[in-house]
Amino acid sequence: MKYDTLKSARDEEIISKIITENQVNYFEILYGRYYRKVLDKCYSLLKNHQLAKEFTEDIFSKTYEKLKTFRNISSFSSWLYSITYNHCIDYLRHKKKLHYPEWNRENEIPGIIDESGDSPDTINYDDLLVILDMIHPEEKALLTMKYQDNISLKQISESLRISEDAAKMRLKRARTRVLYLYKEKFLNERK
Amino acid sequence: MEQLFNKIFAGDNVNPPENVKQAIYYAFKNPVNIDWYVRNEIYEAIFYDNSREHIARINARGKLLDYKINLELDALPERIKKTVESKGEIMNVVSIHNKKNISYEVIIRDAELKRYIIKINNDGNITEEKLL
Repeated sequence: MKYDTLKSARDEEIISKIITENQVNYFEILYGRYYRKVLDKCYSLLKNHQLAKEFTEDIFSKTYEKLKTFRNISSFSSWLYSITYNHCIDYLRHKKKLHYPEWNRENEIPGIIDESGDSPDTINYDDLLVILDMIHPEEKALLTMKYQDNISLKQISESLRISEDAAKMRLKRARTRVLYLYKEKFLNERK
Repeated sequence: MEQLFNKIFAGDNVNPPENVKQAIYYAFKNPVNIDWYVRNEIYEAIFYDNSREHIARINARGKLLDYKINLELDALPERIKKTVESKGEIMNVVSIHNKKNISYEVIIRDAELKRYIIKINNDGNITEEKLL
């Protein structure tokens, strides 16, 4: 199969060609397909354009090196995004001394109330983006991994280096916090 | 992005049978904000009780199999705390309750910030330890 034909092929097909035919240049197709998405994810966590660009390059190098271990259990995109979140969160934990338990203690959600049937009628998406930047990067990563990238809880837990149960509970807390902050900051202020 | 926000607010939409739902209200004092998941005919409820996250597993006949509570880091019994703290800084604590006993699942990180999961029984004996 020629390079141009492969451009429209599925990710898994391209990976198979890279591995079996040792066609390194085919990786460029995957790079082109996902560069922007990986860059956006890095920036959303790191909040630094230069660093996000450097990390994106590192992540693609890491992904290429690990390509033979890709097992088709999940989609390539889920796998790539798991590597992305893992790389960024590990950096924040190590270099920025990101400490989730401490942050959580200092930012306790005051009194969990019954929220059944209590979702806002209309959601202002710009407001919600503000809220996502107010929460801890680990909670933000959890929410986007699960609800935007459809990554399995098993992969999420591996990527964030926590147990699957801890991932489920933190995800629950992250959703509760977003809803609480959204109401506090935007809905109650407008009343 | 719109999909992300809708999902954050709506959560997952599993609707378990009534006997499964009732098992939660029977076993817990004041469960709120319950999200349901199902896998291999075992229902899993994730909810708050007394402001702590809980996970309870219930079979299709409505029998509570076990439950887990996300604890404050300093809520571990002293003998267990001492054992796990000798291995690193505690980052997450979950208690596991079944019919017979209580055990704990603790995530710690060592001086090199490597993270481990430690499973430890109520007597303070480590039953499993692995690098995350």
